[in-house]
Amino acid sequence: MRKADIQTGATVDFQAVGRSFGKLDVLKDFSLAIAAGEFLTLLGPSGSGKTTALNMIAGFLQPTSGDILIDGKSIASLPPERRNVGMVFQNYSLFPHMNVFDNVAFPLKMRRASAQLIKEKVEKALELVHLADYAARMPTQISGGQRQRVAFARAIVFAPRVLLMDEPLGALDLKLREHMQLEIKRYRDEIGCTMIYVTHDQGEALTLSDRIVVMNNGRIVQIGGPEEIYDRPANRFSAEFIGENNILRLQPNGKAGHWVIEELKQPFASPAAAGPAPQALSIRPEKIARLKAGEARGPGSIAFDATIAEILFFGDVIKYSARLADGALIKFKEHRAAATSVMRVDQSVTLAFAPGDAVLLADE
Amino acid sequence: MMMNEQKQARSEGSAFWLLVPAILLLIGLFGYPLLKVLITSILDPGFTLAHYLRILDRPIYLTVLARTVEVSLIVTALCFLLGYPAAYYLAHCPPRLRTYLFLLILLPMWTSLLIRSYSWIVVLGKNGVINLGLIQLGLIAEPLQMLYTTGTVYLAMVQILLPIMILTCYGVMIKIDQGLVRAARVLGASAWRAFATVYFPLSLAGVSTGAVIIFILAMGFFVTPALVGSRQDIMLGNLIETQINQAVNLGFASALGLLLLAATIAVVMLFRAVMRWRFSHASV
Ligand SMILES: Nc1ncnc2c1ncn2[C@@H]1O[C@H](COP(=O)(O)OP(=O)(O)OP(=O)(O)O)[C@@H](O)[C@H]1O
Ligand SMILES: [Mg+2]
Repeated sequence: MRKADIQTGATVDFQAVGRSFGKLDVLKDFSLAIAAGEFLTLLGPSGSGKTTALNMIAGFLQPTSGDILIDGKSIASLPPERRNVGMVFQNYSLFPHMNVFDNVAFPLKMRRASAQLIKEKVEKALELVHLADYAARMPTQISGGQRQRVAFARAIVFAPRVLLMDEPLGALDLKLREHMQLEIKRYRDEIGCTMIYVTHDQGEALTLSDRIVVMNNGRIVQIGGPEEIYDRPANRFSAEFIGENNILRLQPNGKAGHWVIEELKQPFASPAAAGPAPQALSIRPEKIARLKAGEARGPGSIAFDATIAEILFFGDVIKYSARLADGALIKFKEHRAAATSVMRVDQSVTLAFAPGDAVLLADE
Repeated sequence: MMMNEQKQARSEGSAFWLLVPAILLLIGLFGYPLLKVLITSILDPGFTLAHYLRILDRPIYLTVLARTVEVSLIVTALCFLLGYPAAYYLAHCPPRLRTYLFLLILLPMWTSLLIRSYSWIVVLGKNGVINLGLIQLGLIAEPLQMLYTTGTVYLAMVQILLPIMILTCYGVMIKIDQGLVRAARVLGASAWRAFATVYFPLSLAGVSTGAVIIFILAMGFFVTPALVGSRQDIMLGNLIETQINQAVNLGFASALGLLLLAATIAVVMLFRAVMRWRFSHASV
């Protein structure tokens, strides 16, 4: 499919959208401006309202308050078939009584395209997903990964300006997931539409997105690019939900910008930021280094003793869990190349991290 | 598909013994009597085709057969028209309400066919509830002739057979993934087109099961037409019954019975062929 065939993406605006089911508020004051052509991911744990948000763009659900605009126009009064958005479902939702060709042709037939045009577009779409030879198969006659790609072809064949994907890789095994992530990246480069992607897999979100919206309990917890979300979690929820992290409690030390790290019994200083007082800090496992015997710690770094409690061997990296003096566990990891040798359980180690790598967190 | 078939073949092989009791029962209670009927129809006392020639000899039998098929087809169609929407409602209504509605649908099935046919006499007869009511209201002077008409035969047969269509359709509809209908909608189908292109084709299995069962049962009806129909409304079943109980001509009754069976099988096979053709050409 050539870029010229496809319209560019549309903007999508959530304006203070709320949605409740009876007494349950599933989405609360949800405001979000999605740029044209952006790849935006809604990331959050189960029940955080991701599907609800997506279903309101698709038109399966109406907001109970607020409004949603596509290209600046409210879509509240449009039924799903008039919104012109494509959608890929978690369980594919291929029509079981139609073969691959007819499945992909469906949106075009609904738009009353000519038989010639349908044939052309379906073939192009199937080529894009590398399934040109599978047109005559029934959905039961192809593998899970292939079904997923048919669902994708069906969702983009009519050149929608917005493409919604609700955990499209959720049902695939790890290997296939990673392969399909690369595929989606490729589609994304070839078709220009705005993509809104839902997942509870943070790795997937970090890999694919231009921007990530971290959601919890129907609220937006943080919005940012993958690096920002990973390096500077805005709060405890983001810090714990995305990637592995160590959370250490902070006790105020009387002076502004000075604390004691409870677990380490060590002072910690940072220029006091505006906003709610931080109650904890987070430090990524890869930012914690092991000091070899006799090695001096870096200037200003925070060093502490621990004993190895658990070792997880991953081939290229080794993840350790070490017990601190007060019994708390701290995670750190080493790359095989850098590690002199794999440690043993109960071995004593000295660990250190630079204060600049720690992120201050307020509770939510 | 191929893998499925292999798997199926394997499990069928290993679990075949589960079928044995049912097969024995069928052979004993169905195969044997059928064979007996066949033999009775061609031995009287020696080999003869006289009974079959008699069917062809007088137009009455084939005329009644044609009417039996016609009535059964119309009843089946009416059951579909009334039962399909009802089943759809049941499959999509709140579960609590569904429980009560099911009770209403199933209750009549616990009542005997004879009683259900007789009760129409109480309702529709000259001194029946409806006529008395209408006269009382001053809307009519003379009682209406509702009983002993073709319409009443349809009414009574549909009333008896309708639950079957509702149940078979419901059973299939409840399993249709609503996500498919949503997918159709967001891909550009109006509510009506999503129904026509996705929901209805997927529910056809229930329709055809119900239709086949209802048609087969309707072909064998004789109590209901005898009780509520006119003389013109007799079905092949009534003729068979007459031959057995009044003429005591078992040979001829057997021949008529086999005619009914053959006609039923022929129509059902035709129906299935049409359905299969529809399916292999399934497209939007
Ligand atoms: N039709 C409904 N009626 C009542 N509650 C609902 C309905 N749909 C969703 N909910 C509730 O709304 C909340 C959010 O649901 P939603 O499906 O949006 O979550 P999600 O973020 O997509 O989760 P998951 O990752 O498990 O798919 C859940 O608590 C769910 O139980
Ligand atoms: Mg969901």
